[in-house]
Amino acid sequence: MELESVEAFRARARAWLAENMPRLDADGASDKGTSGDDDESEEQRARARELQRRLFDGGFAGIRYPKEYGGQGLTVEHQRAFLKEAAGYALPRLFSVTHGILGPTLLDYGTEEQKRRHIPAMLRGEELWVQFLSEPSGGSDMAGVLTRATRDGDTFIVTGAKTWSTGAHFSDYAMVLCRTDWDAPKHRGLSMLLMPIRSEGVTVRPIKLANGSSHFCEEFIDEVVLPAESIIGHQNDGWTVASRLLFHERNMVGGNSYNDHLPVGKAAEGEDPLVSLARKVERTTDPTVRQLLGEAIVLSHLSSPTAERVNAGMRTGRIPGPGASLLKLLSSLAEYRRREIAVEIAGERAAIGSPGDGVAHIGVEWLTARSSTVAGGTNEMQRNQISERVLGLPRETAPDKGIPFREVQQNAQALRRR
Amino acid sequence: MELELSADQRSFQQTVRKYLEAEAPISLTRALTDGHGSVPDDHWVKGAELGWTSMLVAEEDGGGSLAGQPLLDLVIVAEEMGRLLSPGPLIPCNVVAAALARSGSPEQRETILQEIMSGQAVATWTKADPVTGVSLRADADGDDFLLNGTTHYVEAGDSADYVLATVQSEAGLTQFVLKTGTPGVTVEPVDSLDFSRRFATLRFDDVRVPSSAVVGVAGQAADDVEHQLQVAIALQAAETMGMLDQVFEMTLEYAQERVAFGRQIGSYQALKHRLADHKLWLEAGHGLATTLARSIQAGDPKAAELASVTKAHLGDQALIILQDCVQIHGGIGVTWEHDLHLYLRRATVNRVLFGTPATHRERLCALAGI
Repeated sequence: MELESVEAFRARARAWLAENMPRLDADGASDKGTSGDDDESEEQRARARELQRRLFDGGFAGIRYPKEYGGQGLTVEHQRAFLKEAAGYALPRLFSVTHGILGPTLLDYGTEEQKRRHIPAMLRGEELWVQFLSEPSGGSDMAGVLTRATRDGDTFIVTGAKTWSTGAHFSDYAMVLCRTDWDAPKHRGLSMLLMPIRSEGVTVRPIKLANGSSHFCEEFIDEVVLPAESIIGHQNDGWTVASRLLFHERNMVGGNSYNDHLPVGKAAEGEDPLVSLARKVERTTDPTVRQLLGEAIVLSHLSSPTAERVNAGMRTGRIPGPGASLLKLLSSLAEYRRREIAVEIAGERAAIGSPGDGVAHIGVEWLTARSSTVAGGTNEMQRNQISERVLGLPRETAPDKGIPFREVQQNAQALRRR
Repeated sequence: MELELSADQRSFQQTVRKYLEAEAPISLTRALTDGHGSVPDDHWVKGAELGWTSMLVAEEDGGGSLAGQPLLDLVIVAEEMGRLLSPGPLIPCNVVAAALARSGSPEQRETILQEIMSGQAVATWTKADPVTGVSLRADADGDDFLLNGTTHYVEAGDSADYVLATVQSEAGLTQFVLKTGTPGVTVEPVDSLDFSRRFATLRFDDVRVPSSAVVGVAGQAADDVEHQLQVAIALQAAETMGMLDQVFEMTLEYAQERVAFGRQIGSYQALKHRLADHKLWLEAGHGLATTLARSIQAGDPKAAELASVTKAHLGDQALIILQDCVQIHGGIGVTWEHDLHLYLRRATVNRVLFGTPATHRERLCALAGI
């Protein structure tokens, strides 16, 4: 059957959005309630679920998802058209991670039963999913997880601790990376399990960040019982699933995602926020500030052309490896530098002033500026990926390679005791 | 928006590359640098025969490009010339050809433009600084104009037959095209770090030109001048990307061959990480350069901002990358014998031509309305 043309789809989306979706305020402020930020209320999240349901009923949920799981079965061009039309509307961004990372991973590795049960529910706004990957003992070394899943008849008993899960305190399901074989080397004893977050034995606690916000959580898993069918993919092949999940996560930044919630461009050509800041603090004629603004404007222009270049390169094979790491690195570096520039421009008021004065938030955001260079894979990890898998340079030596994990753990303990 | 080359463009790129490898490889610039080479007399004419001076000119004036993508096709030539550091007044000739094609009188297009397109004549232009403007003045004198002032850093000024002079007149910004041999014009050749190019300071002392020398309408050259700046930046950006690609390839190879303390120096994380960053900036640079060329070609009003973004970014970033490639080569990187400094020379000159990064950051503020 022929797909609807992109133009017809675009026209239909335009009309439907105008009829059915709320618009953002001029400054995008009414975005609250859809973004997953910690200051959302239960009520705002319910609203987001409702908007997602509306998108689903209108035929605009999961644009690139297969039709048999409730999606629209369309192409990335259709998605782009929709996202352009959606600029200026309040899309339920609460579902970005669910649709952009967890859903595609389940599509790639889930059983038929898992897919039919959960994908339509994700697209309808009924299920919010998060990843339980990082642990207090390690984030970058993801394959080194210590969360244990022990087979017991036709169940798994899971015990461990996870951290840095966005929005776990209000989400429904998690993909949990566990160790199921302690005698295999690190990467080969892992399994990915599907877990309802409200299971008996799961405790979720928000993590308060240095800027006072708390939309990440840590989770304690205490002998949670899961059916054996909770495995996603194959037992002891969880690393394949985890790698794929990280691939989808990197693609969220690269503009090649299954997530339909991040509109492209702005409804109106808004001023660069740093230019507005300079106006607000009345420093637009300061030569140093002007140079910094010029630099900031340059940084804001890099992402789109670079994404198109890298995505084209991956399509043709010119870029042989994870090109998304390039884009993730770029966005981290640019974001961090812009925050530095903001502090410089704001002068004294970056550090001394009252909340709500329109400038003090610059200093507050500065406190967690390093989130962008750490989360989603640190800059250092991205650089390893790029240098090794894109440039073909030699891999880092790994003393724990090929050794049974039990031994790896003992060695690590010995190192710490020195 | 597809940023990869079409099949036609790819094959054109191969043709250009093969030609340059045979006729104007890096050994030519090496010889010029070492003081014993010279550019073959027919080099530029041959390039013109291959179409390198005609792409920004419409078919009805004798020009033409591959498949209707004039600037996108021409930047391919610029990039290849950057890779091999080939000499040749590609940018000045094309900027002037484009100006005459856009706004030249029928007579200018039938004579001067044809000479430039055939490669028989070299043309250059005096430029306007993106922020401070022009240093030349024109005063009406009957049916003629008298040009006065001094202008610096004119590329190929020493060998150009024609100069497109951008001047301030009573009516406003105006452009004139005249022979460099016109009485009153003094050409003082100037050296630069880049041995493959020469520059000149041009002095105009009561240079008398007829009103027929005006390009377009007196006082209304601002749009043309902006367009010229954008074209120059786009061509330079492509050339810079060609240089960076070549040096990066060279450096990556070196990092994989050179062994220290029992392993390839490219296995050390410090170098791996820096090379990863350079790879990122290379992709960003290419993305910007191609997007800029496309946007100028399409007459996008955002091209002005994008040109300054590109110039500000590449101006600084190219040198950061090149200097780090020198660093990775260790001691040999600062020798005369190694080709690295040839690239650094051209890139350093490029950085200051058509506005420094600081100038363009300032221009971005002006374009943003502050």
